[in-house]
Amino acid sequence: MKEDKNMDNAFRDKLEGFKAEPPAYLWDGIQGQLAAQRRKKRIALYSWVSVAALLVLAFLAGWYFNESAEKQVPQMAETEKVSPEEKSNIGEQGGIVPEKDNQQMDLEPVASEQFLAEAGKRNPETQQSEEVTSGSEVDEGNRMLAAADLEFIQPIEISEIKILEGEQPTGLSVKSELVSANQIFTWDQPVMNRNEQQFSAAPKNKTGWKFGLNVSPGYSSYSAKHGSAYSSNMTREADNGNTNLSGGVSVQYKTGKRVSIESGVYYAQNGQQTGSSPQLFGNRAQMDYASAPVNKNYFNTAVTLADNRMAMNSTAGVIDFEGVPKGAEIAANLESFGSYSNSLLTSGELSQVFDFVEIPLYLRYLLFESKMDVELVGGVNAGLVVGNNAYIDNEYGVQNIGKTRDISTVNVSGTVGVGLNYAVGKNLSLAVEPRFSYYLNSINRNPEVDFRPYRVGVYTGLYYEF
Amino acid sequence: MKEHLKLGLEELKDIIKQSASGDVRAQEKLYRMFAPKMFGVCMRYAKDRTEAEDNLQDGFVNVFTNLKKFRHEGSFEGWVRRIMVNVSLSKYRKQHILYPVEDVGKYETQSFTGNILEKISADELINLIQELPPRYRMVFNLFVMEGLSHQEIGEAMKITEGTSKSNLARARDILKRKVEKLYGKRKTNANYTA
Repeated sequence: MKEDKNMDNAFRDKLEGFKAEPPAYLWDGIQGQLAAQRRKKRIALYSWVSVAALLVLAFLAGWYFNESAEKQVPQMAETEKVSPEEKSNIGEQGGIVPEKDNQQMDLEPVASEQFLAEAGKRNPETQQSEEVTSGSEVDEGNRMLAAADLEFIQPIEISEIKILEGEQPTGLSVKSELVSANQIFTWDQPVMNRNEQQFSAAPKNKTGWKFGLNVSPGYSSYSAKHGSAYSSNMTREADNGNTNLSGGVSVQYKTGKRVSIESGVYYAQNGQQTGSSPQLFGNRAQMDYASAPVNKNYFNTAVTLADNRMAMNSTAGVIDFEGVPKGAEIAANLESFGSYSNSLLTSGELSQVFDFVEIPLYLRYLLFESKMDVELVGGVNAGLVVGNNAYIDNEYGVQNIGKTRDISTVNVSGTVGVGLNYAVGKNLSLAVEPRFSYYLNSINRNPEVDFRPYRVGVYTGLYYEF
Repeated sequence: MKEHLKLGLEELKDIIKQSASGDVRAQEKLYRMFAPKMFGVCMRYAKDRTEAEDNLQDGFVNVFTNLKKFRHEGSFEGWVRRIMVNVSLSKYRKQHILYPVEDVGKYETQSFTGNILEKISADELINLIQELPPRYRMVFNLFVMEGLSHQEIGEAMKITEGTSKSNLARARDILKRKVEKLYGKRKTNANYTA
């Protein structure tokens, strides 16, 4: 034992002060490595900023489209006019249409009258006192204009002004009792501080963020059901889907070893194509088979012509034409016997295309962990329709013919997929991920049309983990 | 004497602070001050010069990135040295994950007198240590040079205390034989030249 200690001491004495000059290039190596670390930190910071910006963008987009979806609701009264049931009674339509026009006439002047009345009210002369007479000259002028449209509205409008003016003083007195913004701020300050502390003290587990960028070629098709009245006037139900490209950015948050949550923004296209067929499919269409050239495929469907508009029932819903496409013939039966007096004939294909911005909420589960990770993906998407177009592709090229009616702006789809992740670097990985998405609601609000697109895509992308 | 002591403690503190805030010149100063000594440390733990260079580089990158965490309480040299030892240890762990054999054999120790070492240079000794099997080298260094207990070594290297003791005995035995061989050679050489 003592001998061992002697030996240890002898070695220590000899080696303790041992120095060796390291080669000169080592310092450069250290500096290089430090610089690389700084770069990495900067990239991580940029990634965070872009993730934050993306989430804000996604939120804003969701909010914006939600808003505009709500605004569209009042228009439903107008669209009902051409709903398929009514179309089947074209004979009666002549009576209905003018009536509705009258209703609209009733409403519009009232709205404009109120507007004018309010404009008069805001005039400084009327605000000064309750003397209606002093401001009456201006009001009179406004009323005269309104009266030019509709005289009988006048009395209603006058009574409205009086009520509104009577309310004004009470409105002002309430204002003086308002609490200043500064006071609210000081009350909330301790609470805000506490919140801030709690948030910053959030525990840091074995969690992390992953940032992804991917594109996917895909095939989109649909499942559809239609009411019998609707389908009897519809173009042949198509069996074609669309091939297209989709892509987007994603953010994943790893909550544990196996589970992570994903969101992001994706762009995807869904739709349907209706091809031409040698037979006349809409068998009640007026266009005669004989008039179609023998060796050409023709697209032939019934259309309704009303209110200077042309509409057509098709797989994803009623298409409102914006004009008559080139190379199309329209046969109109002026005597309008039966329900299907008009029809459109053209060679070529019809397609209805919807552009979606999808904001996913996915759950990922890591199945196998190795150099090639295998993950299961599943979740829901908020699918916002940002594009709605119908095309006819004939000898004159691809023509945009109009829009599909009654398309919901906000839709929900479900997604399942299997992801293969291949690590190409410390933080970088390459992923190939077949996914299947299916819309859980019909994207058309028309009760006669149940149109649910689905999409199969192979998402290929790069992921950066930090 | 230790070079940085000539500088004075306050001066060293300033250089450390400047280095921590990213001043490259201060970092270079700090590196020049401690690199030779730390290279010596890394040489003992490595199997050769190249591995020692790698460890020294990684060690100093660690030193500079963690410099803000140094509290100016204990010795700075000790802190840097601990980082170098840790880097060497983790490199060893990565390279020798599988070492399942429990080695608790007793080895007959040869007699050894300290003065034999006087005839051998530190460079030669370093070479002998580098020639030791990796685990013996680690245990020998940690026990003799770093003054760790067998329990601590066991925890650091994920081996049992018994294995650590046995490895140390084996390392000592190998070193003794080699020293004696060298010493013997030198003796015969001396005879020839005399």
